[in-house]
Amino acid sequence: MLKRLAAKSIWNRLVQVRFCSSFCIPDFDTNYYCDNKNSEEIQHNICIRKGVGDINKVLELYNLFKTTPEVDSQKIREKLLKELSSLPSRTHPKVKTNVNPSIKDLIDKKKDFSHKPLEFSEITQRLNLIRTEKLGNTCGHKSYYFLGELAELEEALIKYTVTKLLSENFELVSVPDILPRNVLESCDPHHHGSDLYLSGTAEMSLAGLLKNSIHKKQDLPLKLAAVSRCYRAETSNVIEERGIYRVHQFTKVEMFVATPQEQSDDMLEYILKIQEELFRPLGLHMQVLDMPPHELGAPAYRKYDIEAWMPGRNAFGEISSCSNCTDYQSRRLNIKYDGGKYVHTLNGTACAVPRMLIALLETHQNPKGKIMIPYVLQPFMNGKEFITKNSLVPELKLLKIKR
Amino acid sequence: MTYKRKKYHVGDTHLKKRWRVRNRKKDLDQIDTDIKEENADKLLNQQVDLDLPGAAQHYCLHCARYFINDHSLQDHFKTKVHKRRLKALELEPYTVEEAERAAGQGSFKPAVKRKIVTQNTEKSVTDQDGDAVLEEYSKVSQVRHSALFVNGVKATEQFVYVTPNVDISEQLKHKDVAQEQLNKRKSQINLDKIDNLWSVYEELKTRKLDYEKKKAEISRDLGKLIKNEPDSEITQKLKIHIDLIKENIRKLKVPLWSAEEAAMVEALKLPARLHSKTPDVNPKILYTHLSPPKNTKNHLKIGQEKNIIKLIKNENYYLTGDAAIFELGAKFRFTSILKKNKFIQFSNPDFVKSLIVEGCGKDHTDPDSTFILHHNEESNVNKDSRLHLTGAATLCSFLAYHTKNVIYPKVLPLKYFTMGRQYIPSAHKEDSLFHVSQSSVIELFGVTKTASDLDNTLEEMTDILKNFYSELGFHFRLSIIPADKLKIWESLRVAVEMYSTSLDSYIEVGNLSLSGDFIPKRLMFTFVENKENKFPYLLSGTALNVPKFLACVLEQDQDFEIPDMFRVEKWTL
Repeated sequence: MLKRLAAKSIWNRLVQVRFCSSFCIPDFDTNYYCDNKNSEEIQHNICIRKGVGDINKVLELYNLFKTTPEVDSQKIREKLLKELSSLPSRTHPKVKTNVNPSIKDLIDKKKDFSHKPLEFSEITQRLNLIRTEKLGNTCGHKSYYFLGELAELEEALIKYTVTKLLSENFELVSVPDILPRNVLESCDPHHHGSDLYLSGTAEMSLAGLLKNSIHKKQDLPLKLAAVSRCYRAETSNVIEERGIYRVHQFTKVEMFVATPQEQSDDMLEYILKIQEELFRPLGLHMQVLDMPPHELGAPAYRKYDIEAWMPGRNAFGEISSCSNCTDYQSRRLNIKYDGGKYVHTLNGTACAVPRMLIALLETHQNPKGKIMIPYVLQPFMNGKEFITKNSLVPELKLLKIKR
Repeated sequence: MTYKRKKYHVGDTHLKKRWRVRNRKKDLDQIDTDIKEENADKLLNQQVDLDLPGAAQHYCLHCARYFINDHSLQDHFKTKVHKRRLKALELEPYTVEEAERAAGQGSFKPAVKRKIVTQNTEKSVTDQDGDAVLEEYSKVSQVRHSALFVNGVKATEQFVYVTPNVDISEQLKHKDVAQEQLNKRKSQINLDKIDNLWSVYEELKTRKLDYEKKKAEISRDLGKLIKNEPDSEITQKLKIHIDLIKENIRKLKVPLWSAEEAAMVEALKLPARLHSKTPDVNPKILYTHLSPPKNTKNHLKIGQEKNIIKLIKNENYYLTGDAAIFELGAKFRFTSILKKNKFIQFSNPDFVKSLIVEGCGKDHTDPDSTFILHHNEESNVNKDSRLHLTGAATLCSFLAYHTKNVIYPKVLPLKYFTMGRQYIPSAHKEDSLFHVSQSSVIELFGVTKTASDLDNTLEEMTDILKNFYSELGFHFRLSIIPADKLKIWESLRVAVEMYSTSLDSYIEVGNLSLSGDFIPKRLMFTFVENKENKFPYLLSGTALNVPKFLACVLEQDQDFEIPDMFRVEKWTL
């Protein structure tokens, strides 16, 4: 669901105007999109997706464009490109008919608790590991501070994830969190405004890194990973998403892969395998979902979500997703390989910190109030085996102003 | 757009009369169209109509009511009825389009809340004798921006979260010392002007206090008299006297507000007191490790050759491969050292409100000092309550945690650290890793009870920094920065400097600053001792700025490779 939200989000804009970089015109697959024969298929695709895009208008403009002499056609061409860019990506034939997410796999079993499992906010409050209250006037709505060992656990998760990804021969990249507008548009066209934007996921920065590049086939697949801060404009007030489940800002480790066209399906399975290998040792009960068309963002061709069981909430919560975007992004960013073919791009979450912490703390709480640290994370936390009440950070009391 | 009241059934009689069509008032959505500028103009400047109350010259836009004169209109603005109406109008009226969007046609966006302010009834000043009026007018329109100090009328528009503790009378008593400190900082602040403003404020304040004292005295006398001889001449006289004093106090209110604001806003610009160790002109070198590199390397060139740095602009750069591992490794190495030294780890939010930015001694209205967040929908945002993107690893973020909070002295000293981003708009035209706007850093934060404790903590932290940089085997030096290079909140800064061969100068890759009780006083971060609120002393510092550090390491004599202790194998313990 992480990715889906990025598509919906309204972007925060920074006041400063500093950027002005060259804009490259996307090379759309006009042979496919502007052929009358395919219009029915495309129309159907638009329907089962979110209903954004208008194929009839595209065809109309395309015919108009072909018949007008080249001198006057510039304006029509621009309109055509705009319409083309709002069309969604194609959909994987296997999921086309799905309406609900289909469960692909179940990992591990639900843990039995001898006591009633507590919810994340309650655990952290009892152990003094987080502060979320009374921050609206100093750092804005839905802010949070991780204190002491919870912050250490965050660091351990990043170390653990990056170590694993490096052993899988991913190349680590440090990415900018503030981006100029045109990079964002190529990943996801539903933005408006100008200037600088805060990046919602490292996928955008990583795609921007590869912009206008040609690769040799033997160098592919290109596997990148990044640790970055992600900024989201939207939060929610529904009770199921209370606490830090959905926040404005969080740290995330992201995977981004570019492959030759014929390998992207296998690569998606490979990314899913890495995700499973990452999460399985953490002792979580999870389900892998194959997402139906209407749950896909515009760039995605097929998407898997992994949801972890959060006992305190008594519900599954999404902790990661991976999707295959085929040539949707590479056409817009002009990323090619041998013979002028466009690469296929894929992306997946390796670790989204807040949700991972929720799942970990709720799963590994014990009746005495301690949190057991999964075995694989212990070396990254100086050999600590469990988290106890944090007495080092003093609790604060609000000052009463006397007038 | 709800309009719910508590007393539902009061006056529930004669419904027939009340509900007649002729008694119907405008509905909220009608008023909503009235508020639009073109309509509002017409309604506020109506033709004389003798059939309407006050000849239709005193109209309240939001309540759709006519008043007989300006006085009653002004009184009405202060009533609960009017304020309740303003509140009710905040939410955008319901429309059919909204319903359709909610039902799934188009993307749903919730109804917007707006800020509704009472109409401005002050007539525009266009008198014949221009000068006097113009001056008065400019006084009114003069906008001061302080997110920290808000009083008077502005306090009703803006929620005042914290009132800073500003008292500069002690400083003004020793004006020569204060002036000397300002000179050392090469500050442009005019102390005489501040002194003037402050004395005006003090004078008005004492006058008000005098009045209040007198008022209390008289009312005490009056209380005694009124029982015994309610109609005597003295009683009458005292009654008149007390009315006069009340009137005076009332008249004094507005001037006192403006004097207070003028004095406070200027006083908030005064920098922190300098530490006795801060040198005047030249940096004082505390320690030098090894000797500077002798070559003409440029980190960008090397970065490009090795394909580990891609710098497009100061605002947009990538580190790949070894450089990215170096970034994480350096941070992890430093955090493990800090944890060993009993520092407590924090993970902070990246945004802070304007008030914190100003509280930490930065200009919150300046887009070159912090990145200011801009929302697409709202066009009218109060400049004093915006969100600023400073990054998690900044002093601001730690202060946002402690603002307006009390701690117990037995927990002091506190030693915190965080690992994260720091965002500062880049002022340099030249693009290089030294001027990037986004950096990964380690930020330290210390709190102590007294100034001497603070000096001890500084020494302890300086040693930690010294050990970290020494074991890497690169040249660096520790120096105390002179007064004119300090920021206004700093009283002393110890810098870790490495030599850049491309710039041919030293670059600050890490620092530690003392700021004393300057910021706690502004943001009311206090501790209680003997039932008294006291202000703690602060130490903070960016212990490691990774991009600058990386650039300096690339420009060393030896070829670049990731230092052993930053490697992935060393991340576990």
